[in-house]
Amino acid sequence: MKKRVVFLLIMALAGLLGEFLLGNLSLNHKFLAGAILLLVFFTAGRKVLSQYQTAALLFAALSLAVAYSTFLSHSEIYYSFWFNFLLSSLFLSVASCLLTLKPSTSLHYLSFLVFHISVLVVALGFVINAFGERRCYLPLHRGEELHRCLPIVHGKLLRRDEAFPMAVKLQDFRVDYYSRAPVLGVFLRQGEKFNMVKGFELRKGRRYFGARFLGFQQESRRFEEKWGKGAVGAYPLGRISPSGWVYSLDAFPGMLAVVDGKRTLYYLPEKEQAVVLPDFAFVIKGFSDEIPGHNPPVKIPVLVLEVYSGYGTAEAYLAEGDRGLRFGPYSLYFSTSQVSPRVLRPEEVLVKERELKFLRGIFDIRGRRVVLVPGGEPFVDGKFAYRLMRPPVQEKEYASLLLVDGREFRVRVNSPAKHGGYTFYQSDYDPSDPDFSGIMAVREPGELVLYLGFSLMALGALLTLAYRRRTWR
Amino acid sequence: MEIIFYRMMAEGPLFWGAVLLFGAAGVLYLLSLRRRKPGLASNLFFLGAFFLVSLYIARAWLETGQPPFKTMFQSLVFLVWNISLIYFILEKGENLFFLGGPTSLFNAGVLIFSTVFSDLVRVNLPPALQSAWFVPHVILYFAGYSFLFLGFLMSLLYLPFPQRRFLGERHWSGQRWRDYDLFSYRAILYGFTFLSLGLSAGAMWAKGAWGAFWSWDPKENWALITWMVYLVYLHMRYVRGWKGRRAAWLSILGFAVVVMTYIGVNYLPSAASALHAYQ
Repeated sequence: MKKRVVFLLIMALAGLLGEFLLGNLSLNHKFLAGAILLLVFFTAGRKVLSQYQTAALLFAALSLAVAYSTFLSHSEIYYSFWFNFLLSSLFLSVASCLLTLKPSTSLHYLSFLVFHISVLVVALGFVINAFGERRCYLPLHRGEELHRCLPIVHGKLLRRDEAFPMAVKLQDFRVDYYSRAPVLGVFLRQGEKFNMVKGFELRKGRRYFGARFLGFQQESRRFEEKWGKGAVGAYPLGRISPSGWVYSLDAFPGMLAVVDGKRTLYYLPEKEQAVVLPDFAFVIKGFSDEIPGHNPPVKIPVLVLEVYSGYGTAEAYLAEGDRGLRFGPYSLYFSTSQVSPRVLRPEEVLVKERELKFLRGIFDIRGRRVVLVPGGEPFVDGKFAYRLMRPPVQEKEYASLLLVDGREFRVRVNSPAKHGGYTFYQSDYDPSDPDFSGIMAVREPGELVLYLGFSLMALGALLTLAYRRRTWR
Repeated sequence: MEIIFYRMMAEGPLFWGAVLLFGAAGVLYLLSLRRRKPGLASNLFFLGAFFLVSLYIARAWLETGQPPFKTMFQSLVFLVWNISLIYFILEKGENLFFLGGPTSLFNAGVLIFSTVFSDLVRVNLPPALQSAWFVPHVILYFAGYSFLFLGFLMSLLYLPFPQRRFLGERHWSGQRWRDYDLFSYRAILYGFTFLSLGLSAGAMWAKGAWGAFWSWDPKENWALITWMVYLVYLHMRYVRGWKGRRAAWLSILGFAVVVMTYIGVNYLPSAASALHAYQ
């Protein structure tokens, strides 16, 4: 026992010294130094390394190191010399233990062998990757072709671009969002604040049990109307028109709907760009995620405007789903509804059959008939408040159509594409830029070895269970 | 506390029916310990609770069209379902009815605790979770956690009751002796198998979703630590013959690591940038 502990302490010291002495060397040199060091220790202490207790101690040391690393916010530890030396020592110990086994044809031996080999195959896969792996990030814009990429090293994106062996062009990019069907939000007053208790999805006739809210029903009618050119989108939103109708205007991200008698829609202009209308003008000053000074607090997108009219200049807030600002014959409505960003481009707008949806919720709250519209004023009843609201924006899927060396590939999350030794992953997108798509290209020479290793691990686990299940009584 | 009370109330009759039935089953199982076999009523209450939890999960799945395993609340409900299923199979197959009381009461407690994390609005799966690997990965891990929980429970029972006890009449499974140490070992072996399968499935899924088999994410790291602790447990048992108190304490340590992996990781400083955090 003492001999083993002393041996492992010397190994640990060597790993730490290596970190100190070899810190600035290249990966190849570090690997060479580590391999020599391991060979020396293997020659000197093969007997100790091939003992299960040694492997158990190394597993415990690795557990402590990994646990410690999760309390840190950076990931440098996983690429340090001492950490990889510890990992390598562990795999060497597992391999040594394996060599001490006497070959047999029993299921016990087979299961044991497969499981332990799987650990070594996984380790081999990671070693192969350490030398041949390449990861890089392609920040693509629609229609743009890139021959260079930003390297990702040790999990970090470097801001210096380097050559990429293929030409990658973003043909198209699409984001789909989940439907944001209105929900009845029930809030509880706690001090000065209203905190949300639950959001119930509207289902006609469905009753919900609770101390204060008994049930509600929904009424929904659909209207269809032909619209002229200029409007685009696919998501219905509740709105009150100047004539008092509750409409759902189809809208798209960042659309500002100015509804007058003719129901004219305008695209949301760029920040600081003025929109001049016959009776007034306004400039978009910014966005907020909460209606200022609203109680109960409402977390919805808010547009901050500066309005210029014959009466002077004023700052105004326009919340999504709000009844809108009125200026003479005009009412302003703001929407961040989600559709494919592709249809955001005004020049690609097609004339569609518009759909108007009349939506309101009729609720039976403690015997009182309450009518709520999406985004409208809450109904406050004692310490409870009820509001028809829309859940937050959630993306369902985002996908890119890539042209790599003249061949088309569709890439989405969980469905990468392979070409020329690289695998292309849909990495991210920019909600504020509908033409941007982040693609990660990965070359992993150890990929097949790792697939084999993890498959063997699963097989080994099942075999071990099959053997033990027969013999444990 | 008031808001938690109202959030609990909002869960509805299926949920609270399951809590009440688990509670009643727990009391009846504890009373049946004297008779050395489970009563019909305790079995019926337990199965009734399991049925209600199954309906609750199925309803959530059908309403959204997506597996309800994303949030902490959903995962705790699914954990209860897993533990119930595995316990009941073991009760009938291995004559482990003496675990019925603590298991039922634990399930009732977990369901009540889960309301702290209650989902306020409909839960949708983000793109990364929309994978064919999602359901098998979660099922394998939760089956593993359920076995490890039962192993932990038996290790806890072993410490005050280390002697083997006669269980009474001959059970069809051949199990006549109550040996907490042996039972604990068996449960851990099953649990470790499911963990290994879940770990492999998770690595392959991560490769398809994020482009890397392993990302040294906090959740992945603690899953690895959990796996290694039980790996050491099994090796110490096979090779060094660790049994009894030492094995029981290692099993208890292992389950503490499971709790850290499952819940504690979400509160680590590195959790903010983690890929796996429950919302």
